[in-house]
Amino acid sequence: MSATDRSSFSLQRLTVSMPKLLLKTLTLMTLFLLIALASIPLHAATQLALSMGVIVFVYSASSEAIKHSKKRELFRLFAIIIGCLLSVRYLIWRGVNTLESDDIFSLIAMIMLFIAEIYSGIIHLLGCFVNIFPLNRPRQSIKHFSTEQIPSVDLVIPSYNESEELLEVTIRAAMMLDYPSDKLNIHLLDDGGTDQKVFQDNPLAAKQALTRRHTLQALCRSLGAEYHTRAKNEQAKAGNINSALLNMKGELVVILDADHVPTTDFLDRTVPWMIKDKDVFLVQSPHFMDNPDPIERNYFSAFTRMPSENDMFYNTIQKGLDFWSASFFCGSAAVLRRRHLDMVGGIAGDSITEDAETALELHALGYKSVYVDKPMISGLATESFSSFIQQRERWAQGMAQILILKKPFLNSGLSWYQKCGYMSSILFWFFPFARLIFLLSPLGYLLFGLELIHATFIDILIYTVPHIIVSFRLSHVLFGKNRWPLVSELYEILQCTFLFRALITVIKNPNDPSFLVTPKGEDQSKTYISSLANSFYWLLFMLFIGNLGAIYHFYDTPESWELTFVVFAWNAFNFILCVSLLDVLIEKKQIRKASRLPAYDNINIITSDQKNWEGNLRNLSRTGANLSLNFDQALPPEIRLIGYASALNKRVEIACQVMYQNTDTGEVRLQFLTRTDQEKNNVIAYTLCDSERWDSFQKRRTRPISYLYGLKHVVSVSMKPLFLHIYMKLRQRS
Amino acid sequence: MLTLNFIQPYVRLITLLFIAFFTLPAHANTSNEFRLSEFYGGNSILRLNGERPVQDLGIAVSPLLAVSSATLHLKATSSIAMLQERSILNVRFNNVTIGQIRLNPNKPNLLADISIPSELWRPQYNTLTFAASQYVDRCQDTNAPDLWSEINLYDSSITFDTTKVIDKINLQKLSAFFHPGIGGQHDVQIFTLDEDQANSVINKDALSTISQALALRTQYQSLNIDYHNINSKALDMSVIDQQVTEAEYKQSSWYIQGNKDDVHVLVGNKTSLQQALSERDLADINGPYLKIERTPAVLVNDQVLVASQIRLIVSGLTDQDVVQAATTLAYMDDLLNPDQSISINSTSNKAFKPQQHVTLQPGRTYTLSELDVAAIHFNGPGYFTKKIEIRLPSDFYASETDEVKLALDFSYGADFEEGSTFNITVNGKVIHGLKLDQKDGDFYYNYTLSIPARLFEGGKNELAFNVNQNSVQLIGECRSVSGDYLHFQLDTDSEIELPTVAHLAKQPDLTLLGQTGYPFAQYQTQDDTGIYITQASMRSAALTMAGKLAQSSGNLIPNLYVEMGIPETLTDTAMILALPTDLTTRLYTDLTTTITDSKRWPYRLQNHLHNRVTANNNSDLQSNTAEGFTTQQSTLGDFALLLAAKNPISDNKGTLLIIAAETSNRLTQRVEQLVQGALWSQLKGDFFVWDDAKSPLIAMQVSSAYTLGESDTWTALGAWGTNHPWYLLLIVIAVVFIFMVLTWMLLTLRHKKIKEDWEE
Repeated sequence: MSATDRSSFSLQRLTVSMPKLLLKTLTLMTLFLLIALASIPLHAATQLALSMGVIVFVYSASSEAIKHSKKRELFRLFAIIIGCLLSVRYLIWRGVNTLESDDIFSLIAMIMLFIAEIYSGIIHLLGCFVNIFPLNRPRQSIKHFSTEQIPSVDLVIPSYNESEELLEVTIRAAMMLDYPSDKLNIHLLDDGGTDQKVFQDNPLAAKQALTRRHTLQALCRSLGAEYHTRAKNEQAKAGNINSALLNMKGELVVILDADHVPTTDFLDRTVPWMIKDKDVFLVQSPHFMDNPDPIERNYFSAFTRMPSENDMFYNTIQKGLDFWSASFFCGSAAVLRRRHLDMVGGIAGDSITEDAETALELHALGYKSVYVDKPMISGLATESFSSFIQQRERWAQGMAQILILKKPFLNSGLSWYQKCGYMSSILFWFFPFARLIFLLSPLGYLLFGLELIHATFIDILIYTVPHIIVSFRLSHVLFGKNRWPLVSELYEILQCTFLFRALITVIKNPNDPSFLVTPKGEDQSKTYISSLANSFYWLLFMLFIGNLGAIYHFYDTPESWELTFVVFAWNAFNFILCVSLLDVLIEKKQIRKASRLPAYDNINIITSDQKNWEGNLRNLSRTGANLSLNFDQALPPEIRLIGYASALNKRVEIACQVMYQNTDTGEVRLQFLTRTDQEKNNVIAYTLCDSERWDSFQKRRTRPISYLYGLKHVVSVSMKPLFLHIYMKLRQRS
Repeated sequence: MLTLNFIQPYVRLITLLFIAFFTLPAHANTSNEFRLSEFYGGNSILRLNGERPVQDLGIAVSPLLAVSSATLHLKATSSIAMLQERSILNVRFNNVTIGQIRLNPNKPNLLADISIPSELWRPQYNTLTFAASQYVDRCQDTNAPDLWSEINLYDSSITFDTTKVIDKINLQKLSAFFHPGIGGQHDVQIFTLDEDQANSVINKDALSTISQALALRTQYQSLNIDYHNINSKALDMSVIDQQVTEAEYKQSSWYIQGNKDDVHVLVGNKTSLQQALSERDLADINGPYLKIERTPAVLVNDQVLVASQIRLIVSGLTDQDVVQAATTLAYMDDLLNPDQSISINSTSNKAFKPQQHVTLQPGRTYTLSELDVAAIHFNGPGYFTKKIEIRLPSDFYASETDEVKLALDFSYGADFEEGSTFNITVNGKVIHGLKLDQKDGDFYYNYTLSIPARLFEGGKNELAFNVNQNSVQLIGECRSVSGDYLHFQLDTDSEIELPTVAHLAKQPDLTLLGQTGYPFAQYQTQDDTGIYITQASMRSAALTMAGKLAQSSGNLIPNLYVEMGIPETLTDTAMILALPTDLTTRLYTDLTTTITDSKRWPYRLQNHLHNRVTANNNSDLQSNTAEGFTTQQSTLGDFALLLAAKNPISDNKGTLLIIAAETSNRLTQRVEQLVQGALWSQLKGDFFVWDDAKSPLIAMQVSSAYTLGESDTWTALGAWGTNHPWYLLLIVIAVVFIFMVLTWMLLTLRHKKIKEDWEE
């Protein structure tokens, strides 16, 4: 036995032998001791030594944690605890020592900034807590269970205004799920063809609704799915599902958004968790988006190379929440137990985020949730910035509603750690308040001479700077693979002004917000400036004036140049971020209907005269592919692609139209032809129903980068978008 | 018999003349020379820059001194660019011009003797002013670099012929006798007559209090105490001629040799002073008693057997009465005591903490007028400074964000020109500046400044208001404006608000001892503190030291006593005066420096540079400990050593100071040098060696730092952490590690439970 093994073994023995209550008591006492240590007032030089020491320890321990060290989890834990200690010390120092001013306006600005920092600190600490031990669950399969044990499943696809084509893909994929067919029923829940819609006063809209109802009924009949609609459009998506549930008897309910195409192993990997533990009410899986959101597309242009925005949530946070039995329902790509749903009256509908609300209620009843970290759903991200904002407004408002109406922190049914989990997820959505304060605070000093923090330059260097360094490092340790530096800041700045207004609406009247369906599959055939750009212009203008104010301060009060420099650097940083974000507001033209993802499958191309060429995929979308092919003569216009479809566990043949070919480079571009049901099924199975494909794609892009690299990216965008905006605005006028 | 008859009338005549002489004011003519640098706190070269520079020197003279003649010997150098016809160095004395010296470019080095008329001398404080008019051109820039002259204060001097005039002796005169200025008494003899009980109440408590009382009167000047117990030579009548009665002899100062105009002190209870006081005096002693008198001379055969002396009697019925009389001597305002003697009925000092009457109190607000500052007016062009002493508790420990607030009311008149500024400094550091640039002047009410309290240190601090007033600069041939219209005013309603702070001080710290007497004088407590001597002959040195400590603290240290021998347990704060052979290793903490038979020296090359004592103020609580030592057998030679460290043999935490020299005489001599301003002001570190009164041989910081004082738990913890940053970091790491292990155990337990769920 090696020394490491021996120490690990002895730790385990200690864990087993020590009574849990004693262990908890000791932990609590040590925690109090740590807080006490964090609140000791120290002289500047000693604080500097302490801060430097902590930074060294955080960096050393986290470096070991990031590497494949044997004890990386212990190092990770150590880095998190000592880093959080420094942040707590910083917040205590801010609260005790830096809130003092004779000027009432300065005091107000000071307190607001402090509240924003407290908020950020709490979010940081909750984030550390939630993600302290991400849970990795093993692969499960229904093949290990007898037919009797396998429960019946109702798979529901709620729809409101999605196109028939979109729904057809989802239904076809659902039909191909690897699950006993007698135990799986597919249901299309159409809220676009309700009686209310069909008999509405507007004759044109009524006619469209009726047409939609007939079309989708025909589609369901042809595919073997059941069509449901209802009399009135009440309680939006939750009401739609609950209404349909009355006509279903399956033990489990799977909910898929209209654009969420499942892979064939979705039920195979999720349902076993329901069979194993009857107290599990939810098995949630990640939402994988096979197209970039507007920010990824317009700004980063790095969809295939950079972790997606929701990767952080689904790859890290949900796993962390799962450890604390607080992973929650995300509205789709989830399996729910019907019995449990019935206990709370179906999908909850008090808020517009019915998913999280339902999970909260069932967690409060003591039931468990499971998170399966495998992308088995491919959906569509919002295409335009305005629809992106609309979607986020709904999430933010819904979470605010849950906080106000459901008060999870007071819910006696939840354990303390579940409360922390929920509060972490809910409070996050209040970031617009903090972000706006962080954006506008420097202006208070630069334009109005308000005192923002009652501290010296040295104090800021020894308290604030180490806190920021350590917080960034811990974020890197926790989320580095799934969230690149500054990405969170960029997303928050983009959303803050809009979400701020949305949140104010909820705070004024928690019952006011109504469910708005997120538009998807929008037309992006031309480049234009987003209609939401105006508020950014104002923000930019103010930040620019702030920079001028800084120059004036340097000239007018040279004796306080240190403070001016700090605030100026802060404001300039905000300004640079905002300028570069103008790039996002230019909605760029999207030529392809579906985005192409990298793929490397070996394939064969067969022509009608049975000539066969071998090659491999370069990229693949639900409508076509790009190949690298060893061919020496021109291909005919129509060929067949033969590839192995893991989803069906067999080779499939797909008819394709050759769009481009180059014998010199071997590049061939194909468009899939879907004239028959079989062809459609083959394309869907080959392109969308293989979870390994999503998995490998996701792993390919989840990688950490340095902070400097992230900063370089932001700075490299520079002033170009600003000039582009001016140019486009002028052109629009002319 | 004839001869006798012949002589007797002459004897009577001479006696009468003597009596007449003694009833007339006493006179003693002396001549002294002082370097001017002794009257100037700065560099020994006084530079006069600009067109009309003015510099003042204060010359303090005892009010008992009448100056019959005085001459100023001046040595100066001036710029060779000066215009001879217009450049003059004016010398003024108490604002009267006593000399004008032409600044001759051909003779830049000048020597001058200037007579100071005796009628210009004022009692106590006089001002010598050097005001130059310096021109290098008809039309010149007033700040031109060639407008300079300098006075070599070290080589310049002032010679006095003085006479001591003591016209009426009473207790009012005590302060005059012990005046810190020229002619003041800086040595005093103290006599006791009791049985030689080393640790009697009088020896232990009263003498220390009397030493302090007299030293407080000499203010910043040292006072050397020379103690004698005269019990052994008490009234030997065999030496007395039959012509002198026992009563006559008894009331004389028979115990002093020689003739001096100095005051000496006789201490003892009524019983013990039977041999030295007249019946009338003894009859007056019915409780605590103070008297100043001129003792009669004893003449035998026209020869002065015992000279007339000025004697201060500190007495009482009991020893405790004597202590009370001594305490009254320390507290009393001399000016309120026009009598020769007083009997004290009672003294009320409820929970009296003397230091709280000396320093400003944290948490309170003071106006400038409460700080005894008169309205500040600056008129005309030039650079003006008003310095205000802010005396804070010696253990003033401000936290990082404590602030001292200044709320100033000030104004300035019209037409201040470019370069006019108002700067405020604290202990020489600029904390605020304001440009005086409003053409029509300006008025500020409640102009509030928040100053980090850490800029203030325990003890004396200097708050200075510096105003530079520039007048119109006119360009053109010989155009100028006098600038007399420039006017700046700082109102005495301006306030200074002190924060409430903790009372903590880093120890050992001889600098703090030198400046404030800490830890012997503390702000919050006044516990017993002992000065322990190992040889009886060291009592004079101990009393001299007691006096100096009182001077540094600015008030009486009531519980400071002098004890013979080193007991098993010392007071928490203690000082030992000893020979190396009297000391044992039990007196030394942490095996740092030891001075016993063998010496343990922290040689500098064995230690880091920091041992040469760097920043060592109260707010900087960094540890600064020596690591390398050499133990050797050697003597202390000519030098004495003052060592401060944590007291290892006290009940509570405190500081022990050890002063050691090779012999008792040398120790007394070195203590007398130590208490002189030049050396005392250089105290620093915790290891101080000297062999003259000018500068230390070596000063280092060798012991582990610790804190003394009272504070809340957090502040005390903070002070400890500040003192031991790396220990604190280690503790933090250790607690984090323990927390990590415990958390890890809880997390693995939870993980195991979750796994059990899915493995079932």
